Amino acid sequence: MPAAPHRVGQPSPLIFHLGVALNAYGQALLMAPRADSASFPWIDGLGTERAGFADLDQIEVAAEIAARLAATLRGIEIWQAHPYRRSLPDAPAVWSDGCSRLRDFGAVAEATRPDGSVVLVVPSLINRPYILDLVAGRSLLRWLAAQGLRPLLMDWGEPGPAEAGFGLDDYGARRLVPALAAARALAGGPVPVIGYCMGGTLAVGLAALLPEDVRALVTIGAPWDFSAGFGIAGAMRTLIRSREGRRADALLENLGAAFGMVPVSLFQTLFAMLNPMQAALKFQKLAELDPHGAAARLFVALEDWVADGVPMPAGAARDLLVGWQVRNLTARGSWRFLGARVDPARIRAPALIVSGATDSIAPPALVRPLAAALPSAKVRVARTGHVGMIVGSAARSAVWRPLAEFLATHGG
Amino acid sequence: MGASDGDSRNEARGAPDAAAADAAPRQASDEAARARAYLDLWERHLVHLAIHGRLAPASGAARRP
Repeated sequence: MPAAPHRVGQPSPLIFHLGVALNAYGQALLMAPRADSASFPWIDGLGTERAGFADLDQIEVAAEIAARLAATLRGIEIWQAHPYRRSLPDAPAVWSDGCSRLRDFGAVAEATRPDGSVVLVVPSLINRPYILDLVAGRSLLRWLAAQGLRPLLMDWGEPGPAEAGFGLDDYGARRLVPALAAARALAGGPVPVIGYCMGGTLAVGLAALLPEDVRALVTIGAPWDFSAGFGIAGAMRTLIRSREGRRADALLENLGAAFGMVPVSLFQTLFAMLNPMQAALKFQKLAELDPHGAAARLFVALEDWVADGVPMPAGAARDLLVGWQVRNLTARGSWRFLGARVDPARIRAPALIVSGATDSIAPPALVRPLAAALPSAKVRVARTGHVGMIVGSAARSAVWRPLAEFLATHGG
Repeated sequence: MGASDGDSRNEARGAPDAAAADAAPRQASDEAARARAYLDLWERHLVHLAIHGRLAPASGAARRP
């Protein structure tokens, strides 16, 4: 089945995804004869089901494994050959500098009040911002515009020569601060700021250092305290910390020197490592869907976005992966941004901190400490994951509406 | 529960040949269902470990001298 010519990206790193699945299912096959044993290392809570697995038929297990691996490959093929192509037009820009644009969702067709209350929206630097405007019906920004708000999206753009030397502080001083000023000029005063993923963490820095310009702060899936040691992400941070991040720092610097930027594939590999079986399992689900149905279409739209990352300047990658993730400068009160130390206690604006209960990229343990560090914050835990908070089936009730209500109360 | 166990049980009960023939596919189906349940649990096990498992010493404990 050939890939559609317009397809954006592919499962990356494909060899990792397939290798992990083969290995994991191979382990399952080898261990099947002992699945009911008291010494089988089931995690707490799952071992109670072990009694049902006495004398498993390994031929049946092997057959089921073959079916699941085949479904994984079929799902990947369905994605690659799917006719879906994102057709939502970009919102027009009201400000730009270098590769960055401030996109005005008060000007899209769905907007009910083009002169509505301005809200600055700050996405991650790692992936493109259209996760916030993915498809009709699953666009947080168009929905906010339909509620009478005027979202202004910080579209960081794909860095070129002008941004090659940028660290996070450069992105803040040379892109975020001017964009906030542009938003403030349009609003005639301070504006609410919404930040998603690492964009939320950047928004905290912005609100702490320019408190007079930020009327309210909302973060969605924004990590703050990286000291938690759970899962593979926690293990990686701990191991890298054992060398104080020096090797990771040097690796990122060398990648930047070799490629001009830290390539997308590095971030895709890191994300893949957080939950290694996720890719195999999700493509199995796609293989079960009607390929012409709405669910498959949304799946493909999301996978296109996941695969459509942007490279990052080495300085920004070092700030993010070593400064934040390894050295935990944010929660330790040592993160310097816009020329000063970021202290969330300085943020007087009301804040809403949204966390996804099953978020593997910014799990609640990394997000909630931010709420504790803020003088005035409400916490909302959505029963969904990192991306599900924005485009999932529960997003509208769990995140979008509470967000709109918060903005209506606090400055939207 | 292996295939031979089921066969023995049918013989002990003196099951007619036709009933035994019906039981064989059902048993295979049960075995396939158990294999699926085992793999479902294995997948949950791996995902939980990847996200929530304690896979390394607490922060700083792995620091080398």
